[in-house]
Amino acid sequence: MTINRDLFIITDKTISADDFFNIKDKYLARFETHRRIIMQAQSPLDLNAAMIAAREAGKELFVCHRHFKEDEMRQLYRKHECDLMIIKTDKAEIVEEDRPGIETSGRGFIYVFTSGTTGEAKIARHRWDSIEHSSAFVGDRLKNKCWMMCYSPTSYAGLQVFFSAFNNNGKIYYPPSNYEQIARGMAKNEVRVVSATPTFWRLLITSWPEDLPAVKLEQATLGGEIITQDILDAIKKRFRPERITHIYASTEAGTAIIVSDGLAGFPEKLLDTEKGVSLRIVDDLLEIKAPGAMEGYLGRESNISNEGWVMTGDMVESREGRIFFLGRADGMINVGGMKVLPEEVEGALNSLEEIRDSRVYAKRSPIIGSLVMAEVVLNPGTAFDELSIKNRLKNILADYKIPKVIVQTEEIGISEHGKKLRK
Amino acid sequence: MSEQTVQMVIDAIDEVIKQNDLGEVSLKPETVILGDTPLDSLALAEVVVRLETKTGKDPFNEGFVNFRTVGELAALYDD
Repeated sequence: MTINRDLFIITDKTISADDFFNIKDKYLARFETHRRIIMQAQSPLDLNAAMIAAREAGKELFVCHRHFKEDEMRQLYRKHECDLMIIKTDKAEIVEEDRPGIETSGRGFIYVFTSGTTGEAKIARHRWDSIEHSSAFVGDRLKNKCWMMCYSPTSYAGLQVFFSAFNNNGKIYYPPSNYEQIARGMAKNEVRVVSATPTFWRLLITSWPEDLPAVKLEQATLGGEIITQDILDAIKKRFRPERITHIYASTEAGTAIIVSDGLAGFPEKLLDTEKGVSLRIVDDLLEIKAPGAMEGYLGRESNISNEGWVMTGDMVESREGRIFFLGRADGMINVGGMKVLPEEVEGALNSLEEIRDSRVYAKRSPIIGSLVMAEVVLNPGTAFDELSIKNRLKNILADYKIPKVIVQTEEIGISEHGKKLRK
Repeated sequence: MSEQTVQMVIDAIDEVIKQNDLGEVSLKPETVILGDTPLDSLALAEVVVRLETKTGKDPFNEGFVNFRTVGELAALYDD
């Protein structure tokens, strides 16, 4: 690299490529006598530098979410027989080392913790070439552009954004957590590529400051949750992207479905293509065979069949030549034997004009099993009327799917991965 | 049980009757919920959830507790 270009903008701080590669070289030296490294870093700079070092040297690296406690880190370190642990905060560093002197060669692995909106995080093992597989398909028009990181940098989606930007001479903007500041940062840093969950996009659009001119994007990407037509349309209107894409990817299956026609769902004909990815529907559940798939979970049985099919647990339905996602099978609410998918009910609620966002969940009842409940966030200047909401839902949903109790709330919690928190 | 709690339970039942368009009923502490009112078990479950949303209390946390009347239900929410 001849020019020392800017590589990262972390909130307000700019980091040059030279600075980054210096840090990377330091990690390279530290990793030399180790085989399996577990790492947690407060700053994405350290995390990304350690990743590039581990990839270069063919090491095994666990990239741990920032919310893991020190005790959990030590447990993981022992349980998975690591020989180097680094916990790096802004001020200090905790290091644990074992059996120094073991040297290995080979391609190495990256271990990615699932985001797990429900239940305990699982660890997926990916080869370095499989984790960055999709970065090779980034178009020329996105090279040298500024990408905004809207996912946790340790999540599968965050790693995809990182490698896509990094391998294509991009600059990566790590924004702060406040949405108004994110909007201002986008304008200031000339962000042109944004990949985020529908929840993130919704919050970004509703928090956009009135005095801030619109930002025109080269590429807008959505993933991680169900993509509905209303959010695709809202993004098109606000950011006028040259291309809008929604991606179906998971920590387990890798990137499997990419849709760029601006419509919700994906064309049925993708089920028949053999372009490296195979899809099939078994009992309303999507199954995927893809080149970016993980090797397996660490220390537990995986959801991959012997023939390589990843059982996604996502329920789908075919309608007018397209396949639509309905929701997670494990999030299904059973109401007296009838199945209710929270995502479907949320979609119906969000289609009402006064509702900005909603969360639907099951409330266990000793009297009848489960009740469907909803929390809604209203658009400013609108009034909450539970009965009126229910009456309008009757035009969209079967009666048993309509939430019994709807309450108003100020905000719906989102996880550090940008997904709606599930109760 | 306090009058206040009884009123809270009556309000919750009235709300459920209104939400589900179940007609009108005059409620007293001795009213038998699943008998003297149009409530069915699903609607009763809804009453209980509404009371929990209001009070933060779930008297059925450990399993079903028997009650018949408005007053008996209210007693479960008394401190």
